[in-house]
Amino acid sequence: MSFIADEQHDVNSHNGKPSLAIDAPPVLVFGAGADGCVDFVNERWCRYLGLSNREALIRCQLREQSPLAGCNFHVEQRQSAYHPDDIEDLRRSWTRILTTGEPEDFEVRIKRSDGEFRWFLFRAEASRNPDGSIGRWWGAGLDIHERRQTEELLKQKACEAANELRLAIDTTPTLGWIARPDGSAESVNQRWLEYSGLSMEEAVGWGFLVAIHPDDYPRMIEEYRNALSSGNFFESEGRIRRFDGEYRWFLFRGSALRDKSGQIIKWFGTNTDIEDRKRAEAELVRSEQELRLIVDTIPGFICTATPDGQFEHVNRGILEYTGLTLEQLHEWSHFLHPDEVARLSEAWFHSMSSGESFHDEYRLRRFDGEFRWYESRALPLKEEGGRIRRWYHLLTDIDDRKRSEENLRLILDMLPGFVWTARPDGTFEYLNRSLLDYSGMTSEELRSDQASIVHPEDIEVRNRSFEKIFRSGIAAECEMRLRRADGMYRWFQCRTQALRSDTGKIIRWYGLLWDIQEQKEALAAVRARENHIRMIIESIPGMVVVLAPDGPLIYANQRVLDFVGTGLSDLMGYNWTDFLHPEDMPRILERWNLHCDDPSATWDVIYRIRRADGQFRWFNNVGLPLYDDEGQIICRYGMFIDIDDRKQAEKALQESEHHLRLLIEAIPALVWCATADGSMIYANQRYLDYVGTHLDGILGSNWLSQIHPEDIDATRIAWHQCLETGERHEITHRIRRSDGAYRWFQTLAEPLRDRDNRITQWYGLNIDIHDSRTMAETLRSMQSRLSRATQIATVAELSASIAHEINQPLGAVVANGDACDMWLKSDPPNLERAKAAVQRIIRDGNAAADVIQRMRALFRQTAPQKVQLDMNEVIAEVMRLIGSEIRKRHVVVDLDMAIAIPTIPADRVQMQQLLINLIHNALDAMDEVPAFSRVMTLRSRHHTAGAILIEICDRGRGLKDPERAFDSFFTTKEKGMGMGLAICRSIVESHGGSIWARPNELSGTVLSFTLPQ
Amino acid sequence: MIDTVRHTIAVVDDDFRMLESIDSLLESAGHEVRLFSSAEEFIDADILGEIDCLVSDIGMSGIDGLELFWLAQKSLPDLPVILITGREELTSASLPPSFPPMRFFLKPFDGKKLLSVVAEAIGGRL
Repeated sequence: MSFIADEQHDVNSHNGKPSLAIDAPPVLVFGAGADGCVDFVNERWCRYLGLSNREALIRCQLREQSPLAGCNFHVEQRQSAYHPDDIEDLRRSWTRILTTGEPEDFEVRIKRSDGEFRWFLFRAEASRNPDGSIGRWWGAGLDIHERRQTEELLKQKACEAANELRLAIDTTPTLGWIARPDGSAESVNQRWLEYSGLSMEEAVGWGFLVAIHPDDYPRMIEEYRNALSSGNFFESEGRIRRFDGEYRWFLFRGSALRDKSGQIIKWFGTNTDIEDRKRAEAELVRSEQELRLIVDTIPGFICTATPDGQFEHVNRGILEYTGLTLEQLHEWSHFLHPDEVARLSEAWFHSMSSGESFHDEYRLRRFDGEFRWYESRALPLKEEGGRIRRWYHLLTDIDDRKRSEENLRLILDMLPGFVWTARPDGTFEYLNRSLLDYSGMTSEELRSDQASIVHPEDIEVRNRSFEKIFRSGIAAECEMRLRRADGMYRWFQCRTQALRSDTGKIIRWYGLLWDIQEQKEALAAVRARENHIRMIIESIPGMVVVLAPDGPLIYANQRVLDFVGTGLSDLMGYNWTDFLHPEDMPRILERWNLHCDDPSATWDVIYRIRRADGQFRWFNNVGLPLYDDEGQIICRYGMFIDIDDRKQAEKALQESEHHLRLLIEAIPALVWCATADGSMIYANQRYLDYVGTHLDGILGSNWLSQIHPEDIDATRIAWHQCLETGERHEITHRIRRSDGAYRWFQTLAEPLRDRDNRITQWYGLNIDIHDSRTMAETLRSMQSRLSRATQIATVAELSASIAHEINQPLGAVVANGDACDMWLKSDPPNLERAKAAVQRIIRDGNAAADVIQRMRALFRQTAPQKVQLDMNEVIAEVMRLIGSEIRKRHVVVDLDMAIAIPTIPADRVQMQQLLINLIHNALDAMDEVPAFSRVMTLRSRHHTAGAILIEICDRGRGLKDPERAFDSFFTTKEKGMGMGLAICRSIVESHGGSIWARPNELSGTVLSFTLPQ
Repeated sequence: MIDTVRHTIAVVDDDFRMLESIDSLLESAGHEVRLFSSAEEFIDADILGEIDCLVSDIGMSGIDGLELFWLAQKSLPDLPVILITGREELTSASLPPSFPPMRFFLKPFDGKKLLSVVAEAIGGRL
């Protein structure tokens, strides 16, 4: 209403006086103060009213009390220009306008001068002061009476229609209702009342709500409210209480009735009893739930999808498996393998668009991220006319099958051979990876043109073979060359076989191709080699035959033919066995049978073959089988080595060995053999017979048990000493005979050494010396007697020799004396001759004195030759010298040597004599005591700063008078002359030392001597 | 009492002192003495038939006194032989049984007894 604004401006500029312009348009204009009191109406309005301006102002006041012109007059209702019915609304509108200050429209009927009320549409707006406060109000009214009347008419008509509708509603078998725009019930039909048992008064307004089931109430109110605010068609289902309290399901439907301006005037609605349908539905829901339960609990995955492919329903199995909600399942990438999403989308889209059933295998991701293979089948449910209503999917877990299939495929693909399958008509179905890789072609290319990789020369063969195979249906093989990706051809063996149904119909062909290139090449090489070998066989300087695997001869080289003196044809087959020695045949056959059982065993047999001259010669036949790749024997090569000479030598050797053995057994002694560590490993029969035991009874150290108890220790010590030192073993001991008697044996053992001088074995000989020993005992006593005699004899001889030397001059002296006597007695005494005799007496007497002088010089002791000596070494030397003597006397020697003893100046021979003498004394002292207590201790010590001490301790009976022991001619022994210790003392003293004796602690004597450095 | 008849006696000994003393002793008794220092020397002289008595030492190198006795006995069984020895171990038992024990002398011996045995042996021959 821009014109009003312009007017306003004008009014304001003319100090509140409306210009004539205001009266010009066909509108009623009023002005009012800020307080709402109308202080201006335009000329047109006045004319309309047929009143003066003042009268008009009064009658046109909008407020009950007008402060206009200071008067406070009340316009009675009947005096007002406005229709009495409208005054209430008018005043409310005006009050509201004044309060809010906002422009507002209002409609009001104004009485024209002719008394007719006409409808006007007013709009009032405030004109504001510069400070924003309301200065005045301006309003303009437009005659809308005609329009309004039309509306009224329409409304009336509508009402009539509504009434008719009501009638209709009342008469329809449904519950009907009419509601106001705000939703409150204006009216319900009779049936409604009858049904609910409510009166109209109770039902109208919001009373009807009591009949709504409380459970449905919130939902329905919400839906009702939505419909009311939007004006959309209202449809809802809910239960309404019947008069008897029973609720029944109704379908609520309502639609709005609008006026021309689109305003909702009323709502008309019906409630249709749908109880039965609802029951049926509930029944359906229940059975659906059951079905769902079934669907959810069956171990397969089931889902349905809309015709456009959206999942509608999925069973619980899927949800649990995927761990996804139905919504999440709409995104396929959530549960499909990334590699398969595209392919499956395409396939699924194809099925949806074509309506063909969907069948595929794919991987489904489990909640934990693992993929498993599923077989998916989807069938469309079609309506009549072919439109798809729904898709039903069934997914079956084929993971295990798939994996084994995968494995199988992997195996097939990884097979070094080529595998293919073909339909009964021969078209390829499957070609394994190796084949594709080899050919460098795709399976499609190979399917379309199988022959393209076959060598042109082999196509004919291959085709013939394939034709035959396909025609006969019998498995067969053929060889052909196949082109590799790089264009090279390689030989392949092709084996084809048919799989038949129960009825014998061929279902599928299976083919296997394997590379035989190398075999082919190898075969060629083998042939070449065979020729080569034949050449070698002919040229080698030995006899060679070739046998077929089962024995017949197929080839023999010239040397064989020369030897047996016949042609190859006479040897062929088994004829060659005619040349073998008949005596050897059984043995050869036996070996041959064994060999056939175990061909891997070497064939190495010695037998005789007849030479051309009829003489048999020994041969060593060594055989070697030649295997093919499958381990089957192709042939055997046999080589003959003439060992006749060796055989003869062997025979001789055997004989000599036999003799040797006989010899060992025949030796009248016990012969044995022991390892380097002394363990006995062999004994001759004589030994066993003697001790009366098996070999076990003497092996190892068992032989010791047959030694006399008194000799065991000495034997063991001596034997171990030999084992350590490697010295020759020699001992005399008693060995028990099988009858329990002990006999004396002289046991000797010598070590056998290898090249490195290590002892490998000991060879021993035990000689029975029992008889000779007893004889020796006798002899010894005889000898001791003899030795005494010899001593006497020696002394006698010595004295004879001395006597002879002296008697000679003495004889001359005496003879001369007699002669002298004779010469003097003669008459006349021959003084001349007597004198000569006397002179000779003097001469020869002196000669005798000279003899005695010479004798003395002969017996005189020479001065000792002193050198620096290590007495420990000297003791060791002495022990070696008299070791056997000590052992013979069963004396155990305890060597107690000081380490690094100082050397002393001494005569080696005298020291040896000294020690031998003292040791002999000690040994002699123990002759009378039991063998077990015969222990002699040799001790060396660094005595004082300038001397060493040597002690010889025995366990004999001891000396009664040690002080006198060193006197000459003092002896406790029958045999001794009592000179030993005296000599010892003179030796020690000549070296500046001293010697003494004292009793040993328990028994026996200790002889000690010192020697200065 | 001295016999005026001179007899020849041969003496064999390898010790010159014994030869000298026996020579002196026999000559003092009036015998003619022929001295030889070994049996071989005596045999070479070949005077067996010229002598009346043979006095010989036993212990000599080469042919000893006993052998010489046997040799003399063979060719001239009647020739008296007197043997002398310095070795005490030899006794008359060591001599042949046929040898008269009184003709065996051990050194040192009694000279007068030798002279009487010589005289007796020569006298026996006569």
